[in-house]
Amino acid sequence: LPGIFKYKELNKKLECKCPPADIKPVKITAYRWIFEDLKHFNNHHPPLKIEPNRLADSDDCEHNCDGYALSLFTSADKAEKKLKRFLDKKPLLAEVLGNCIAEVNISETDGEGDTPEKKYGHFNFHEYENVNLNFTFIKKLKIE
Amino acid sequence: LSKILRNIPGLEIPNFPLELSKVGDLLYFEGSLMGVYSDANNSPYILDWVEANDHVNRWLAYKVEPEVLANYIFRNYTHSQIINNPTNNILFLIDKDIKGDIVLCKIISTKDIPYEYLPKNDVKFEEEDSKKLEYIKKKFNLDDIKLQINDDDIVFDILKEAKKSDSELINLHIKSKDSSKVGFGKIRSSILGAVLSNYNNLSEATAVNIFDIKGKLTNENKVRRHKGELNEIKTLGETEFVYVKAASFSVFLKPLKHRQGLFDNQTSSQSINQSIFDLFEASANAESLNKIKDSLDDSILLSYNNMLKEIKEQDITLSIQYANPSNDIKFEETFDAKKAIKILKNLDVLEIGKTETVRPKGTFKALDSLSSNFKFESLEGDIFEGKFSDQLKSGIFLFNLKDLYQTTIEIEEIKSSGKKNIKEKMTMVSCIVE
Repeated sequence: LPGIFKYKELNKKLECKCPPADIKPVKITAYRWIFEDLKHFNNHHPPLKIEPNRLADSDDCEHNCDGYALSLFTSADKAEKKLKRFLDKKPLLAEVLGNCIAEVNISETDGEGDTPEKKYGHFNFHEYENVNLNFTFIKKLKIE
Repeated sequence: LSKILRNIPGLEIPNFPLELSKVGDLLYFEGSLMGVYSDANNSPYILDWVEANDHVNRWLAYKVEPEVLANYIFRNYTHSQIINNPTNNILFLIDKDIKGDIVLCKIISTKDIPYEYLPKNDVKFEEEDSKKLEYIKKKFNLDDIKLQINDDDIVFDILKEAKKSDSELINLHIKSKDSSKVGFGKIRSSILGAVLSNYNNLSEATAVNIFDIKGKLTNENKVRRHKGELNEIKTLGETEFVYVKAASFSVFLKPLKHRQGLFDNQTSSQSINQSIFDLFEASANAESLNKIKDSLDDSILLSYNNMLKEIKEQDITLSIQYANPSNDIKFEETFDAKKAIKILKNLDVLEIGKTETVRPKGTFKALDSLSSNFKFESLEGDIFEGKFSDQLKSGIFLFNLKDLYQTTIEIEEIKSSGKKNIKEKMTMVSCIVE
């Protein structure tokens, strides 16, 4: 039986199909950018639930739909590399995205993800309702 | 509790005066971080996300010329270059709330952008971070724009610059990957201070050294100068600050004073800079440095050492240029941390020395025929320790510890550059019983 998505009501308001049809349940050890305080709101919420959002100007329905997904990575190393790149470009992004890497074990009953992109292994993960992912802190990035 | 955003000086205006429409994104992660917009005249604008709290996102909005945008997208210009060089040199600071409504709008100057808002100096555009790139290119015909050479890699044409003012000119161009140290038209004052004083010290020490060499005074133990002469010579090596250019940080200096013909019919400043650049070139390897060691002295090497250490420690790139427009001469040299470390190693093994001859009268305290070593005490009580010269070595059995001798001893002082310890090597070259 397919799960019910956490932000089902908000997804419905979008004009496109959200979450997209090509995502599927995944069983994976994934990695996420987080704040050192594991209870930090941003650690557990997708961008459109973190206020304010930078999607305000977007008229692209698919981008807005991604805003209801958690950003995850397939390896800790790739997650770290990508975060470092972004913090070099926007130093204060650390206050929005966090400056730590966490690990999370995901099972098929937690939600559905899209295909990870090749270079950094980034994928969007749409949680099912009543799922609270359990993050384990791995490391804090050194900001030069 | 939401954090307070940085207070940036500027002129607050009630409304954002432009109608902009979104074209695409040059940096995107979970939303726009660097958006491209167009105004009513189809001119490109950039909206750079810089800071946020729980209520607002802050953006810097600025107009860029299509050529600048093309050079950024085709990776000739860095992000830092474009944010620091907007059209008309002004930016709008915009705070937008959750709904996207503007709650604060200010006109600010590039010089007031806080370091925390700026990307690292070497950050360039990466296609994988963008959205709708093809549309951005098409919208502003960026594919048809002839790309310029990245002027950050090329320091100014110093000769052209010198000709404008028709005076000798020195340019110190400072770059760093760390925008909090050196940015466009901005520099941490401690770094600028150190670079200027290191160059000045090197230039002054070179002026004094050239004067001594030309005056054939190098073999004298102490150079005696008339009152005020040393300061007068030093001013020949001094420069005065002329102006600054913003890319990354360039300081232009011109000689404070110069004497024509004092040094080989050249201006004093050209001779000084010729010597400095000869040192720069020679120091690239230990062998060539050793060849010019006789023309160097301790003050030059100490100031050169200090300059290189600063480059190494601060991890900056320093380009030094000199130009004389009257004879079209220019010198250029660039140092980065890697090169500084290499030269410091070369300087470390360089030994510079001077030889002094003394003629003490006294008695031997020890004679060693195996190693040809001696210990000698003068009538004044000074102890000399060293070796006999090759000529004296064979007659060592003729000397004794009882008789009084008139000797000639050469004392060679050897000092590693940049180090304080001086080694003395003594050789007895003549010894006659009284």
